[in-house]
Amino acid sequence: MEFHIQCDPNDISRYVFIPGSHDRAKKIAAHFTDAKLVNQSRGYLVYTGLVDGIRMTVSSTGMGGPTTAICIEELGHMGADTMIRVGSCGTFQDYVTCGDVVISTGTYRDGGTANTYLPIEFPAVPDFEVTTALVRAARSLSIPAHVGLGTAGDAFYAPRDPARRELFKQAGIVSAEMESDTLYIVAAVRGWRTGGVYTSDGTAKETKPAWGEEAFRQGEENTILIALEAMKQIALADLRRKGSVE
Amino acid sequence: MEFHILCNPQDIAPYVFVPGDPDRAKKIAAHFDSPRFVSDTRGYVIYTGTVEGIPMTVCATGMGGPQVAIGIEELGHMGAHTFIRVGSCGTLQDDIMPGDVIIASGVVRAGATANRYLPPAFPAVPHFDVLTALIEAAGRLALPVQVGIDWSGDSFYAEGDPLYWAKMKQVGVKSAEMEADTLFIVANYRGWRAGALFASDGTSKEVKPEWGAASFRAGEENEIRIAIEAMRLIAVADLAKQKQEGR
Repeated sequence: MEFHIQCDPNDISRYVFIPGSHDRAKKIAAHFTDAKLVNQSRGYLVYTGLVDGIRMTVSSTGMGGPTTAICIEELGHMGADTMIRVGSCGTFQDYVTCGDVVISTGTYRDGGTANTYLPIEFPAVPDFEVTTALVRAARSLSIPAHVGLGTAGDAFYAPRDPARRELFKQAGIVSAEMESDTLYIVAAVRGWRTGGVYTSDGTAKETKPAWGEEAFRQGEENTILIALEAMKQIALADLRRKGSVE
Repeated sequence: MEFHILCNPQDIAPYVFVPGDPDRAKKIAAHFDSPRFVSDTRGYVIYTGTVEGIPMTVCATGMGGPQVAIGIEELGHMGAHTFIRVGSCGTLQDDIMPGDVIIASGVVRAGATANRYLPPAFPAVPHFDVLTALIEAAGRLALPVQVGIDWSGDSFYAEGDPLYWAKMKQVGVKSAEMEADTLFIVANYRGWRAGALFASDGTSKEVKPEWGAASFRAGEENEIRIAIEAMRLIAVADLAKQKQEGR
């Protein structure tokens, strides 16, 4: 039994969605057939069910690097090797607004947890196959998506440095969230496939404005649809390659 | 006129191949329709020609971050916006042989030049469209490639720490070369698109073994064909997008 996610390892699929938010885990599980709650210890809400006959799991990670690393390590011990983060994010770009979908191509490593795995110069990047699956899924669902870089760090409320915001904006960083740096680096060390898709809950000027909430909710549902379709296509490709999704 | 690449800016195409080796620049130019020698200052050997009517340039960057940064900055001043590095590399993985082609999906930033642009926490990654085009091109040409993390640093002959290299091998770093970190970070900082592929000239145990030279040359030719097809795909997509936006 793992130390924090206390469930039967057989209840974890190799295909796992990892939102930060527990509520979003429930929303994702609502798309599963025969969704079963398999864990809620330490706040990790874990459901497993079927998507078009393919067994998939969703586990909330909570916020930030430490809780994310513990979560995905334990999921990995139980056989997970393909993980898609379905997150929310802020943005540095004026062309992004509430509800916009962002597919991640790499992350600025502003968090601390990943540094205990690999030195800072190691690139935090998603797996190309997963990213491609996300981009194709968005296209096939006719959901517009930004594809680009993000930053992930450890503090939501720490003072913000305007010069740094300007640098990030110029360097094309689209999204800001708190988990993908850890996800990509731990995955590199463990040899898993990962990707990230986020919904913006703000603009370059406003953090989570009330006027954008409805658009955000719609965007959140869009990211869930994209992630589900992408994971399904990845599983089907595995099936074609190996004859099995297990 | 630029400080180091001394040529007429009109002679530089927006689509540029950036090998390290001046000899490889000539080999790439040999695939252009009516290639023209543009200039050779400071070792930046430049040819411009067309591929199916699309103007393309090749510029040898020389070895290491400082020369790469100066080269692409000056090419950028002259209108270049899409770069594909066509390089050679060593490898850390036992299953990679001389002549194998590797497409970089991200780069370990062991070099120092890029740090003057963006801190090491910033990921050195190819532009997604260029990465996609390179993989698509390899598929169209039915040439096998590996896609993975590359290591880019400033020293060819330094031994380095064996534990560090063991870690890099363990986490799956495929290739080692000296320019992609700088290329990706400067391009990203300037808002340009860049990608990179390399032909391995060694194995995880041998650096540039003589027995692998012929395979390496074949791999080099393969990566040139992939790069040219990828650039063509990118340019065609750009054109289609421009038409759509103009409508």
